Amino acid sequence: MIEVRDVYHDYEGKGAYAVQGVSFTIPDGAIFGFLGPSGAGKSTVQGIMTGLLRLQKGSVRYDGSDIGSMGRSFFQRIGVSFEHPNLYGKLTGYENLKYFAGLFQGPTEDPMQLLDMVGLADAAKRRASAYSKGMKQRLVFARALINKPSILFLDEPTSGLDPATAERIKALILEKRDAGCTVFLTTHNMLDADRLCDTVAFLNSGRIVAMDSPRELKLAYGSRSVKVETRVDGRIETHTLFPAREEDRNQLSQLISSGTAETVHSQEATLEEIFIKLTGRGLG
Amino acid sequence: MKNALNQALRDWILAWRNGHVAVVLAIMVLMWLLIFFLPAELELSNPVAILDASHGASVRRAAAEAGMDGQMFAQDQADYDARMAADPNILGVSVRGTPDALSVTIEAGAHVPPASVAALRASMDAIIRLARGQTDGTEMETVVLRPGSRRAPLSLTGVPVFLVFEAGILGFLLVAVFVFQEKQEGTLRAYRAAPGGGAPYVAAKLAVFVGLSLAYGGGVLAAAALKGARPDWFGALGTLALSSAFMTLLGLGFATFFRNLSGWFFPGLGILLLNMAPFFSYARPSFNPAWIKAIPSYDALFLIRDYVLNPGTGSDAAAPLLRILAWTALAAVFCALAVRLRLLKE
Ligand SMILES: Nc1ncnc2c1ncn2[C@@H]1O[C@H](COP(=O)(O)OP(=O)(O)OP(=O)(O)O)[C@@H](O)[C@H]1O
Ligand SMILES: [Mg+2]
Repeated sequence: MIEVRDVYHDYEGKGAYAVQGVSFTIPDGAIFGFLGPSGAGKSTVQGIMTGLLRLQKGSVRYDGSDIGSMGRSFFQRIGVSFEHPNLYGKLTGYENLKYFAGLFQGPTEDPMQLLDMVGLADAAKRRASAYSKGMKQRLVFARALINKPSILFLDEPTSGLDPATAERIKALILEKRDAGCTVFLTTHNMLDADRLCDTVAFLNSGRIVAMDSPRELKLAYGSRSVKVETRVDGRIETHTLFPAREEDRNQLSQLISSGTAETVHSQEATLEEIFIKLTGRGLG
Repeated sequence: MKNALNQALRDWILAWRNGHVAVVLAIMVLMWLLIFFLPAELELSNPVAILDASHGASVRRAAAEAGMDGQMFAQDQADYDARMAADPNILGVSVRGTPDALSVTIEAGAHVPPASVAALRASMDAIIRLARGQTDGTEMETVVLRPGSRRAPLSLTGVPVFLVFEAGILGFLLVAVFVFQEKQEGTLRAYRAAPGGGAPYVAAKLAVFVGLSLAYGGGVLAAAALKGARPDWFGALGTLALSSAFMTLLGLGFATFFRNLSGWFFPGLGILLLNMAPFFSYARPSFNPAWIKAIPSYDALFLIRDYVLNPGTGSDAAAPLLRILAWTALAAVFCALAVRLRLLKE
């Protein structure tokens, strides 16, 4: 179990917190989705949880032990994939994995098999510097799996991938979860989060604004939403409203009766709309 | 151990693909050319042309008696004039008259140092007295000091310099290039999220740069041996490995304080130049202030000189070796701390 309590992080020490008061718990074998717009602080939280960033305030515990008290053995059992592909450009895909495997003591995966799993078998002998962005992304993902980790940290593993390849990666993530791996997944993509995650946390400006299973979140906001376009002084505004909530119902009838509503669409509620509702901003 | 070997393999591949191995080999070939084609001696004094137009050529005979090089004597006036015209640095001496009343003219261009002119005057003086059959009774004798040690030809005198400074540059500069590449690619971040640790990381870099230095040093020494040197291989390469280890450790620790090569450049160049300062003591042994002796490459340079040029006759190697060892140990502590507290932390 991973327990994160009241974590703050200030990069420059000037009182501008990139992350403030973040708390959550991830049970073993769950996929925990961390969602939020760019700059929300997602990577910062991952950095703190993996020990790459110093814990300034709050606590991070793995099965009850503080992250600060854990020695090198901690790194034996985690796998980390980074948002910016960080590979040895002068080494081939295969060599990158082979070398990385050599850093671990326990059993490791066969590099060739991993490359095959992420669709890079044909590129195994090419230097990583010659890989496309998506190929690098997949290689970094494969590298995170090399030591058969029991905890996976994945920072936007599917960003920049074509839909088919992204599917492949998502299937692998679910496979890992089913094998007992705990996954901390950072993403912009609400649909991915909806499909993959047992729990999602919405992060906005360094704070968690909602946290629950995707199903519960959608239930709380109603399974359907209404998108209303209004014209005020010639400008078009879009409102997303959830008829299950009283205040939204009131607003909806007001918009319609005042005659400012131009179009009204009823649709299935998505996490994205809930996020916009909560934060007033999209995930762009 | 497996971890360190694995990382050393990675660094060897990178050194090869980054072209570092090729650069080292190219420099080695350059050193071979210097060793093989540099003349054994450089003419240090000004050349001299002498025209003996005196009766009976008494000066020429006396000079031959005194063991002077007959090449200096011009055959006739035309030969003398031709020699004088051919070389602006030449000193000319023309002797006329009879043995009892010789007149000697010395001609020197404005570039010729007065000391050379004075030295020539003195030796002409002695020869002319000899030509007249006068001696002042002074006996002069030359005694060779340290007869076991041979005078090294110029091409071999350079070898210790080629070895020590190249190893220093290699370790110090190339290790920084490695670190900045890993910082820039972000591979260090990935490394920090794995159980690699500081010591194997440092050990791998050491293995590569000490190994490269030894390969380079072995090649240069082999060329020196072909040119007639009889180096103490073990002593020379051992000292080289030690000073290369020192510079690699220092360079690795030093590089952790910079973000990229351009930030590193001037401070790093400063250290490299300081490391090369003992060259001046080597070229001019009378220049050896205490601060130059304190630079580790000073000890390495003179130790390696003894191992390469005067093996067996070298003075006590223990003290300088211990000093280099102490410096290397110090650099190792500095490097270990810098890598653990800076490089592998944010
Ligand atoms: N090294 C750093 N130094 C100073 N500020 C930083 C640093 N890294 C991130 N920040 C700031 O911290 C905040 C959170 O950044 P973070 O990278 O955690 O966001 P993110 O949610 O991962 O965004 P993205 O989706 O774009 O990856 C941002 O405002 C960012 O400007
Ligand atoms: Mg991020």
